[in-house]
Amino acid sequence: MKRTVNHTGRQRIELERLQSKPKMAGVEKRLELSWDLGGLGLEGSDEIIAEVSSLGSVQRYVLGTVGSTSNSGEVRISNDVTGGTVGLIFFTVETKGSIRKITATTSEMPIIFQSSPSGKSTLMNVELVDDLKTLWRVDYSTKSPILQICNRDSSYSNLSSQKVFLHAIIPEVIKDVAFSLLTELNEIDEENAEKWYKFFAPLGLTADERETFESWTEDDIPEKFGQALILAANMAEEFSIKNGLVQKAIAELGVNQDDF
Amino acid sequence: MISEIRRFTDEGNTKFRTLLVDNPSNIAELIDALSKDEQYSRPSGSFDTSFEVPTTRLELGASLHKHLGVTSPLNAYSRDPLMWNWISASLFKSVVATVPADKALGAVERWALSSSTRRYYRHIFAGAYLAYEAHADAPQKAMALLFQDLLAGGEMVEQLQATPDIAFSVCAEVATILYYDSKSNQLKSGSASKGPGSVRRLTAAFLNQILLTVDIKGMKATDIIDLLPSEFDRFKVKSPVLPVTDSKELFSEPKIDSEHLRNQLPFES
Repeated sequence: MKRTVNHTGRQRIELERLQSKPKMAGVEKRLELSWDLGGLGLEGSDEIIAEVSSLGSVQRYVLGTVGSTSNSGEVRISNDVTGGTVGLIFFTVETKGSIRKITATTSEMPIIFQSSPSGKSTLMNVELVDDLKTLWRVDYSTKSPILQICNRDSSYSNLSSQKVFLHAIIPEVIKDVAFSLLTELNEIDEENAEKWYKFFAPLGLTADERETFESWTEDDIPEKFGQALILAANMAEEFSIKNGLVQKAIAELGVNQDDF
Repeated sequence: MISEIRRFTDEGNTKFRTLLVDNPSNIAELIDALSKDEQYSRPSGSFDTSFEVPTTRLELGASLHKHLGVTSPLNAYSRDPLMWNWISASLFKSVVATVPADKALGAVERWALSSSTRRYYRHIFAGAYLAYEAHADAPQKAMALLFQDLLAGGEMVEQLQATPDIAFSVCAEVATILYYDSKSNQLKSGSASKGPGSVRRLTAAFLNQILLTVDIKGMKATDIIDLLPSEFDRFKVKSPVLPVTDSKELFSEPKIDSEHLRNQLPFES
C-alpha cells in the first residue's frame, strides 16, 4: 500500500461532493452551489466558505456552517468582467480560537461563465476528474456538453495557475462541440443545442448551413463529416480571434506570433 | 483634468501598443495625440466621467473609483484593457513629464494592460486602481500598496500584489501595519529589502506558506501579526501605528499572577 503524508492536515473535498451551476444575466454572474460534506468528520461549527478569484479580485462568501441543515447557497459575483473564467475554492474552517485552521478544501476549479446572445444562459460546466486518461475531454453523457479536465494527483491545481492551459483548450472545446452538434455524433438535448447554435451564429454558422447539415442523408456521411470538421475548425479560429485567447496564450508563452 | 473616460477602438489599441514598442523620441506627444483622436477611441457613456490627473496610487484609486466601483456606471469596464490603455495614453504625457527624459519607460505591460494574472498588476494605472478597489472601504489600511507615486511601485507593490490572496485581503493591512510609517508617509527602512522581516520574507516565507493551512483572510490583522516569527519584531516595535490597546504593555515587565501560581503549588504555603 502506498503511504502518503498529508503535510497540511487538511482533508480533501472531492469534487463530486460539490455541484456548481454558473448563471449569467447581462453582466450579473451568480454561482449556485450545493454540497455534501457528510462522512468527512468535520465539526458542525466549522464555517463553510467559497472564494472566487478573477483578474484583480478575490471575493469571499460565508455560506453557513457544516452543521446547518442547508447544504446549498448562492454567490453573486461582482468585479468580474473578464468575460469568462473565474477560479473557485470551497473550504471549511475551524472557528474555535483566533487562528482559523482550514479543515477541508477542494482544489481550485475553473468556472466558465459563457455569455450567450440572450445573455441569460450558461453553455458549459467544468468538472475535474481524477482518473481521466487524457488532459481534457468533452463529456456528452448528460446531453449537455461538460468540459472534463484531468485532476490526477491533484495536478489541476498546478495547471489551473497557468491560464494558458484554458486559453489553449477552449477553442478546441468549441471545435469539439461544433463537430458533435453538426454531425449529431453525440446527443445534445434540444434546449442546449439551440443555445450552442446561437453561440455559433456570430462565429460564422449561417441558417442555410445549419439546414444543409440537418438535411444530409446517411449516404453523405463522409462529406457531412468533412464539411463539419472544416466549419468547426473555422469557428474555433474565429472564437480565438474574437476573444483574443490565442493572442493571450502567445503573450503568456512569450513566443513570436510570426512563428504561427 | 481629464474630461471623460474613453475606450480605445481595437485599431487605437494596436497603435498605442506599437508606439510603446517602437518608442520614438517624441512618444509622449504621439500618444497624447492618439488619446485625443476620436477616430481611435469611443466614449464610455453620456454621464460625467471627468477626473483630476493623479500623482499617487491612492489619488488615482480614489479618483477613478467613483466611476468604476461596483455600483458605478463604468463598472463593467473596470478590467477592460481598451479602457485602461486609453487612460494610460491620456495620462502618459503628464506622468512621464515627472521623470528625467533619459529614464526608460519600462516594460510595455506597465502602460498596456496584460491579461496575464501574473503581470496585470504591473500596469501603472490598473494595478493601482485594483489595489484601491479591493480596499475601497478603508484605503488607509492598505497604504503599503497605495501611498507611492504612480511610477514608484517598487518592491513593496511587486511583492504584495503578485499574489492576489495577499493584495486583496487583510494581508495588505498586515503589511501596512508593519512597514508603512504614517507620520513620514514613507516605508520604514529595510522593509523593501531582502533581509529578515522584509516584505519579501513576509510574503514568501510566511503568508504564502500559512495560507495553505490557515484561513488568514478571515482573521484580524492583529491576530496575524501575533503569529509572525521573531524576525518581524523590529517592524512591530518601530511601528507608530501598531494596533495594540496599550503600547506600554510591549515594554513593561511581564505581569505575574502570583495568586494563581501559588494556588497551583502542590503544598500548603
